[in-house]
Amino acid sequence: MKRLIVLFLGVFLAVGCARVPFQETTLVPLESVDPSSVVESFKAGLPANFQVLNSVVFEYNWRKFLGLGNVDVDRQENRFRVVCLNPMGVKLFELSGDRNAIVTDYALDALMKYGDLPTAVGNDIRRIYFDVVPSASAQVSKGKYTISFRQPDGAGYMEYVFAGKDRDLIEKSYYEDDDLVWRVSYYEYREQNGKRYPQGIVLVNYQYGYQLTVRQKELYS
Amino acid sequence: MIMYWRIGMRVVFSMILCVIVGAGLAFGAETSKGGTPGQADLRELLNTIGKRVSEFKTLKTDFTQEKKMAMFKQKLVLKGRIYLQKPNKIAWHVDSPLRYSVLITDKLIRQWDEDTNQVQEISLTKNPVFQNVLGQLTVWFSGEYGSLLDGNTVRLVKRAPLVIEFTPRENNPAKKVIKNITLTFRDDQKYLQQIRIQELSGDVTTIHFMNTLLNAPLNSSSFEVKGRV
Repeated sequence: MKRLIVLFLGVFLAVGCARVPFQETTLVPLESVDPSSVVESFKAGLPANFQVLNSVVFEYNWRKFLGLGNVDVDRQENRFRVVCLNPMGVKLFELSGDRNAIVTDYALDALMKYGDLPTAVGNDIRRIYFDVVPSASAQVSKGKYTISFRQPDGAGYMEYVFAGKDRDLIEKSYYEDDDLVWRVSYYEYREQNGKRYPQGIVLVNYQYGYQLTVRQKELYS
Repeated sequence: MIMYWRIGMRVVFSMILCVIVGAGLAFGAETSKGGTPGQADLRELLNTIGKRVSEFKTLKTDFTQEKKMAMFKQKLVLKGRIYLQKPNKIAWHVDSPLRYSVLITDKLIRQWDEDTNQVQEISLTKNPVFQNVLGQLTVWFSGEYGSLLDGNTVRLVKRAPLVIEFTPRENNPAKKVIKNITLTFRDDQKYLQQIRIQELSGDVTTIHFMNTLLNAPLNSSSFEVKGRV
């Protein structure tokens, strides 16, 4: 029990105290907004295919490490490709994946000594970029400033929260046994090439106690 | 995840090992005394160029690094500056698309980036492996090209400007990764104008050196990783 408390405190302090370096979405009343129109509007602004260069800060236990992630996302085909480099342009790993599998196309030997890092990264990319629209059968709940959708997912359920004057997706959270397992928060949406892209993304994995802070650096397509 | 952080420090080392010493690997390895006709001439040419290039105490250069990756349509472009002070001090500053600096000396590696805004430092005093890495790094940038024929097939591509291509031989460990490396020298042949590394994966990295100044005065801020201009 004591170990559990210490573990909980450790995760809480490590994750809970991490600063979010992006502006929160300005909330506006959404009480009179039709939830289905929120989803439809969000879907319309969602880019189907894009390639983006991000900086990614991996944060764990007050320690931080920076990488550059070049990500190619194809939402229509549910496929992605990603290459991660260090800031000097050295390729650390390269992987591709779809809904069912993640393939490591290249990884530095030094990285593989610490476990299957590319697969972990691939799973986080799926969490961030895929399944960002709730299903038509999702359970809706309206707050004064937010509209939330909840639907079963795997062993738990997924919750989507939309807010702001543009009614963007601001949070996507996964729960198991009513415990928050991980959450992706999206910040500072901007219209680029006719579609809406969050300029900042924060993924917090409460289960393992780490945070990824993603900043868009360049949008290629 | 613990692994995310634990790889962090490894990555600092890997970057050196992979890009620059990766090139060093291609140039390092075993000596082949035989050589094909013309190889002796090339050795003499490289020695001459090496002597010319190595005649400096400090170096200051801007660079643009373009990385064309086989899996992606768009190439990644990094821009920055390199400062080198012989015998063993080098600072690599990236200005775009993000700000990042790393200082490598015979005693430590110190790095900073704008996103984490943290300075991380690793001691090299008890790490002979990475002291050796620094040695290779310095040699590479200092232009001591005497051993470039070792482990590689060398081809003179062009005389003006001078372009030399190095292809790792079968017994060279770099052969597993690198298809060839091409060096392009400035018109005065006093320093490199471009390095092009073509990998077997199809990736191509090209580093262009611009505004290169030899023996330019360098102050301590050139080697600061945080708070730099």
